[in-house]
Amino acid sequence: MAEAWQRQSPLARRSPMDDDTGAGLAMTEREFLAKITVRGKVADDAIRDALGIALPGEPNTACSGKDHAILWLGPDEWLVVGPPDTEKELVSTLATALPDAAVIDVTEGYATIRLGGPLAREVLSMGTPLDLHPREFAAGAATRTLFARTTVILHKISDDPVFDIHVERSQAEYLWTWLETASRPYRDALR
Amino acid sequence: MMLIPCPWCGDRLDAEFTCGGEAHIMRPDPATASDAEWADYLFMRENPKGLHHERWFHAHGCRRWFHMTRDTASHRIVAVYAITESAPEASG
Ligand SMILES: [Zn+2]
Repeated sequence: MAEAWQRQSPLARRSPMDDDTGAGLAMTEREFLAKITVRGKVADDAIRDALGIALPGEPNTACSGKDHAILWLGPDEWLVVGPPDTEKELVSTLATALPDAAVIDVTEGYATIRLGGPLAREVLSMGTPLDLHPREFAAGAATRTLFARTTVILHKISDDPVFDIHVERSQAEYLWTWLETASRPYRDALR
Repeated sequence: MMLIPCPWCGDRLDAEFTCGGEAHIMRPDPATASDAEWADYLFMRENPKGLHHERWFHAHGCRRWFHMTRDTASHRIVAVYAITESAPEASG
């Protein structure tokens, strides 16, 4: 982790897009969430004991608890997301619980954008051909995918809907402005 | 735009994948292979018009390699199978 005084989000100069029009489209950053990549042999029991949630075994899914979420990224790869400033303890908890897996802190490598509101799906649909209808992509769905020509990890938090988008740090500002631009027609129409 | 059915993730945009070329190429024993056999292994590919067994990589998704049998003329995808499996008989 970077020293606190040096630490700056790649989105530090971007203002949140609030639901000020009643249009139901809000975009905020979820700053400094702890993000840990786990690869290798992971026992479901060990994860349950360590974090109190199940290990998602199916592609395109995630399991969430009060503080943590585990996202399926591949047959032997997961992303564990936790509250800000918990990455150190999370790494040691996971490394102890999972002796046959690689536990890597990627907190500083990714930024997280939260997009929510009834129009969120419309906006996201401009960046991906994935079927984001709740029938196909319900709350708890998660996947790494190509979005607006950059790789993201898309996680549907709830059916309101609320989406969290984890994106590599260097792409965060690009994705933020892309989403702002994609949202503009909807926001203008409702003004 | 073409959708490719990843055996793990399901239908995804073709841009999420990288093609690894012809599948099932066997490496000859370098101790006994002739120069011609070795050159054939290194450089020569089938390049058919029609059914082709290929290796594909889901680079922007689960990051897994898998096999796909595809018609190079129509882009019709005939079969998707694991990277450890040999080519399906019927579509051969
Ligand atoms: Zn995949």
